[in-house]
Amino acid sequence: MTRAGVRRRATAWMTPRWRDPGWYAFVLNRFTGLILVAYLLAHFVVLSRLTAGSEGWNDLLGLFGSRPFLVGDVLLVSAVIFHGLNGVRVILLTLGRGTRRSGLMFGVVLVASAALAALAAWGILFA
Amino acid sequence: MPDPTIVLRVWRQQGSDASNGRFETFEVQADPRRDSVLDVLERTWAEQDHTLVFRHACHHASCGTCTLLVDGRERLPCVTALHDVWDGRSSMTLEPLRNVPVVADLAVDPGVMLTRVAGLPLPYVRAVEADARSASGVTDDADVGTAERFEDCLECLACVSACPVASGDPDYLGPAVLAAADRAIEEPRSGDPARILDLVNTEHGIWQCRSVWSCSAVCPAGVDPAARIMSLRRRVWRGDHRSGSAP
Repeated sequence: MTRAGVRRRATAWMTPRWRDPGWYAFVLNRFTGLILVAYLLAHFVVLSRLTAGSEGWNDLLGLFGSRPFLVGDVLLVSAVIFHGLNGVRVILLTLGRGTRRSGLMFGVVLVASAALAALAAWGILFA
Repeated sequence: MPDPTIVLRVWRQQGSDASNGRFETFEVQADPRRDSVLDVLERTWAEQDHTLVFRHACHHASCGTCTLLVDGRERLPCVTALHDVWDGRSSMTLEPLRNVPVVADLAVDPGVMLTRVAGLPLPYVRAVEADARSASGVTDDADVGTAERFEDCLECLACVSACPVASGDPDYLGPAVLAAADRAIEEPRSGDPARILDLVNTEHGIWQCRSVWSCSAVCPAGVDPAARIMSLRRRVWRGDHRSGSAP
């Protein structure tokens, strides 16, 4: 199998389309969706530590309050915000609203997500 | 002043197996002011390699046969001016469409998609045309079968190639077929809109679309398949397939 053949096969499911806003929205939506699923699974694992008693749980809470985990919280909240707002965009498109302006709507989603994420970051890291 | 030389990177593969494919480089003289991408490709075939396989027919964006990926973007090379896609220095990459079976090199087999279009219960001619044919003594449509040409659609399959969902679900009806279905419901002629909605109201039909909108972005005929898919969803929500009240 040639290297070019491998690359063409590997990218068949996800062809980069650098000039299509819809492609960015699609990829970001999938990426943030995967983050949310991973977080949900991690959340279950963490909750299971409750069965080990209060001491272990309090240690965990201390860890979660550390700076690296707070930055992780910011990233998680950012993913939630984008995924939710882009979901609204997809619903609007499905309802036939803004179908000629899907790229503009994606831009609005990005700007709104960035603003809300910045607000969340300030609240989590500095407030 | 001699024409500049363009370096073409052309995807070559024998048969339908892409795993043994590779890019082959050709150097061709081209006039960016006058040549289309198809002109350059045909010159490559004529002057350098008669084994190069690609499809073309009308040369004026009517048949949709020659559609290719030009530097990763679906285009009709017959009407794509070289100066629009080539900066005069770098190479240009030509690949076959994605999500459509490749016959060899740049030639794809549109049979799967066209069979799906033919699977929709669509009459070939409008009711008024059928009346006119009947009045003139022509009653047998066996020569043209039951396939429908969706007027604006070139059946070039650029939309299918651009759709990331079509890459992951080989059973997905695809933007071209779904757009044709909505158009057929909009103007049912002698077709059955409720039955067409039942055919597309499946997990491999309208609900598989992820609203990427790439199909509409690359459509050379302005069909806007994505908007057509959303239109079909609204028809289903309204219950047109149950009441038979479409369009």
